[in-house]
Amino acid sequence: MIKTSAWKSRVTNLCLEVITSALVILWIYTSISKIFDYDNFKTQLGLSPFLEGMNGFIAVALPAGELLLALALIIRRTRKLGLYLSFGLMFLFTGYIWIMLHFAYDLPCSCGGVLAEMSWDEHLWFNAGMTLLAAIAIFMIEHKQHAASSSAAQMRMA
Amino acid sequence: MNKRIIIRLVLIMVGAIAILGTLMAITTMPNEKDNGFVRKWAREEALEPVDTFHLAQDLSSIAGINDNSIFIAGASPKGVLILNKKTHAKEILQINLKVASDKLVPFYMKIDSPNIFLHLNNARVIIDGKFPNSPFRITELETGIFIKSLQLNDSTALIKVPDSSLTSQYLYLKNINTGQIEKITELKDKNEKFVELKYDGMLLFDSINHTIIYLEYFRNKIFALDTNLSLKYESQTIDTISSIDLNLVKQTKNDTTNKLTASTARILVNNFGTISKGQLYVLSELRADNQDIRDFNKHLNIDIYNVQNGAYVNSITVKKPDSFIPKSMYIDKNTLYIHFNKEIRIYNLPHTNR
Repeated sequence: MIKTSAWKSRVTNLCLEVITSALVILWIYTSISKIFDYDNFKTQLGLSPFLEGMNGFIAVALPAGELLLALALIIRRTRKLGLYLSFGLMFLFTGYIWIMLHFAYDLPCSCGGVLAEMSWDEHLWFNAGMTLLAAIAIFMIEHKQHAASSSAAQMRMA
Repeated sequence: MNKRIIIRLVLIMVGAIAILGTLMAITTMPNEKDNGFVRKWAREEALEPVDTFHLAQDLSSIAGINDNSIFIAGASPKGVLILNKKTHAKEILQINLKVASDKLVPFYMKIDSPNIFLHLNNARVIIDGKFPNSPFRITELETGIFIKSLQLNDSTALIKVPDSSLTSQYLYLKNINTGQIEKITELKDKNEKFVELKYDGMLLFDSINHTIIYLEYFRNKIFALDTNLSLKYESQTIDTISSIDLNLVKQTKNDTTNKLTASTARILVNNFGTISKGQLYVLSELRADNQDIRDFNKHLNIDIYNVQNGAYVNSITVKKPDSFIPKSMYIDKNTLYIHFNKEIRIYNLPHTNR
């Protein structure tokens, strides 16, 4: 029984590390791509009917925020917060792509690096997948922390 | 504990949806307000497709049609899908092009079976030949990278090129048999003002009236030129978008390539155009005041003009299949072909437009 539980815990830890690493890589990669291709990114944002006029602010704030998010995921103390924020941002991106696909009258591409090669539909599915992974990671980290605090409490009582 | 996590995630999702909802609420969408024009319908009901061809992949545009086949250019000019009109059989024509992949698109392809004409904008070449087996002839252009082009007949191609400052645009007539440039002219309106590069448009040709049509994408402008590139008349589509607030920015990539791109969202006025029997068919993206917005969103609206004088004749409408995006439009012998991303739908044109 203990063996099974330890094995389960190891698998959960491994999955959590894999998902967190994937998110860290994603945030660092996309933010750096945006920074290196800043002019193009800002222009493409300006082409979005929903972000017109805000493109200057978003072009700076978004890559900076993505880098901070990656940092939050790397630091263990802030990892849970990083996962919640990752979930929120990925959900926001997914929703944004959905409204662009359904309502926008001009479809620019404002992503960076290889992600720019994806079609809008592919992007929607990719982002939805990453949102789901972030949600799974949140459940894992919450359960892990809960289990850790429960066992710590039990030890204190003992 | 799961309940607490779910509540947090739902709250985050609600927050994100609120942000997106606010963005949508503060954005003025085209066609929300009346556009100040009305359409005259050739017939009240939408045209129904008489045949449909399903497409497995996303293709570029209809390159030609003859009695037996529909030729559709692939996403790359290296492949052409040939659809048999009667049996619906599909065949792929491979074109062996020794051109760097970054120079393959954008391109223009015209198939007047068995002749094939291929214009590669970034490679600055015109390729022509007869398929399936004849060798291709390559004509290099002395111009810079071109933006739009059109094959007028077997020997002459029309090329639209930006000037070096990327502000105005020139038209070139190139004879691919002699290699000579037959004419160069600046694209100017009736007041002799340059039609700036930001007023991009499509090139169409009416072989009956020997008229070249320059139909703008983002304004209601139609310029008709003769085959000597002299302006015959300047007219307008029925909508009222006579000016646009469209800004272009020049971007330099890797310190070598200049790219001109729009810096604000563009409202498309005229999406596609095609000419048949002296009539110009324009797929418009604007709602007329005598159309309900929900009804408009479910249909494609095609306005018809007389090429001889640019006068509006009437309009037809076809049902837009859900989640389908129109990619090109073609008319051959009273039959309208609309190429969507997933299908080609065929419609018989009403008698009044024949």
